[in-house]
Amino acid sequence: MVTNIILLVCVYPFVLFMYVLLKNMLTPKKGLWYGVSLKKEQADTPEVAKIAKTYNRQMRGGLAVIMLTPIPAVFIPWFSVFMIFWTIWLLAGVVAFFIPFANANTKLKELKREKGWKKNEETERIVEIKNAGTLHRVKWYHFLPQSVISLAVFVWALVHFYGDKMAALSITIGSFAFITLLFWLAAVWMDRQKTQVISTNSEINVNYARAKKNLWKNMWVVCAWVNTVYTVALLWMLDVEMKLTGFFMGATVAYTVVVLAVLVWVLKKKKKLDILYQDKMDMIQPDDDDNWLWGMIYYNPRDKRSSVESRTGFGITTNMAKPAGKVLVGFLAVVMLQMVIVCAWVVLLEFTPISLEIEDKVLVASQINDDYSIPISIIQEVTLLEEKPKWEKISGTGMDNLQKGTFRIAEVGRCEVFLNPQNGLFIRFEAAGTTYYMSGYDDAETMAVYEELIQ
Amino acid sequence: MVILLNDTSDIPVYLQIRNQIVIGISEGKLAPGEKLPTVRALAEEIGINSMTVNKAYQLLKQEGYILTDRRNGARVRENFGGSAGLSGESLELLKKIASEAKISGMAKEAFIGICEQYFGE
Repeated sequence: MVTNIILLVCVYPFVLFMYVLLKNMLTPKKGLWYGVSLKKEQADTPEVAKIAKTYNRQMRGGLAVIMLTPIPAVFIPWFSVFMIFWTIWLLAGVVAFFIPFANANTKLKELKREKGWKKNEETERIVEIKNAGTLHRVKWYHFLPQSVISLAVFVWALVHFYGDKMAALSITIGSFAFITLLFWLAAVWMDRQKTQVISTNSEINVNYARAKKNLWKNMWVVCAWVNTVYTVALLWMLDVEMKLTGFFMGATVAYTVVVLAVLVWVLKKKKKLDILYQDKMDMIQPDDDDNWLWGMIYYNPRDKRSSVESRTGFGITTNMAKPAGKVLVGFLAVVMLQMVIVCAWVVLLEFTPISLEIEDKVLVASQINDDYSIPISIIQEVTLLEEKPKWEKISGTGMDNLQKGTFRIAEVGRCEVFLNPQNGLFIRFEAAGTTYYMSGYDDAETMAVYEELIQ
Repeated sequence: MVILLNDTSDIPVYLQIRNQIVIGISEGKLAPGEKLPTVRALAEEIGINSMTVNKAYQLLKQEGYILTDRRNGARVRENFGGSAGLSGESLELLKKIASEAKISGMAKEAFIGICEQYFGE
């Protein structure tokens, strides 16, 4: 239950962040109401006010449901069920906030058609040619130190853990090092976006674009530094004897909080920037509402660009009609599939009983597959314990009814574990220089194996 | 300078780019000697093929509005050499527009007034 409460505290900020993000989207800007282009006199009509009222009501309802549902979930006793609940909750959180927006967008589009407000200019393109292709704020030296440090940490981990049981963990460190490079790529991608035309005055367009790109650049630079510090901390945590779980959770919470704080800060700055330029936005934008599905997803096969300025929220969005959009959809599908597979795997781990037996003079510890096969001829110093030592997991599984993998006992060292911590009897033994702690499905199975081992 | 392009227009995109740049020069939005974006940068900014922009630049160069060289890219000409007249193609176009105005019943003064307005800009 303590783990559940910690997870609740970690995940809760996500909801608040989503709410702040959507509140930012809610504010009509650049002539857009819920992703639909409207003139001020059109937006001031009672029909639009009614749509806005419905939107606000649905948003408040969504927020209440999403904020309240996790509280009873704290009492779920099974880790895998709890994890499935969180996965569904996170996805539901996104959907619950976006459905009112999509509803308001659809209703406004219908209203525009009914009232004859729709202009027939969707094929028009407005382009700022001043400073085209030269308005870049991201320089290579902004991201080089973070990338070098992250990669150096990864290489060091690869060399240091080579041939060790910890080798797999260098992949984890490598994944985080890779994220630093991804941040660099994302910064370059956003920096190369076309200049948004908000005014007939080129100076205003260029200054607005420059300020915005500066903001994006700063955001990615800070995120890259945070990720680099986390990658270094991860290596330190894995290589130095210490309380692993506590440190890992602390570092992860700090990472999440700092990144969310940076995002909120950037959103606020962007909002201030928009307010500053509000009076200077005299360019009438082409009416391309129909190219925006639910006001959020850009789909325009006639547009060669793979990414465009986002209509809602912050930054840019992908043109789903182009190969880059299709790649993104594929990537999201893989992520969703991975989430389902991980959930199914955790359920399998939690509800498949463990088994410990001796077959043909080999001690076999198996659950879903054979986890350990150790010839009994090399097993030494067999002892029966009534209490398992206190340890920290390095890699493997750690659940209320299952602990298996590599663990570390403070001031003793690493050991291999395969047991049900809810049992009352455990076997400890040495084999080929490694210490093992094991148990069977129940105490009777453990006792039977122990007796066979000491004979 | 801001340019507007229409995908459904009968006028090809390269000609629309050429026309917008010529209008920009005549209205002073593009100063003599001002550097134009590179072909690649402008193509990326508009979201079209580089060849289309290249075709527009070649036409502008042929007509004497811009100068291009490998090192400095494209620039608006400092002075236009002044033939003090319209090209044959433009004269044909003007003739067509004047004829349309005449057929539509437009008064001569009104037509000249519009010409003066654009010339003045």
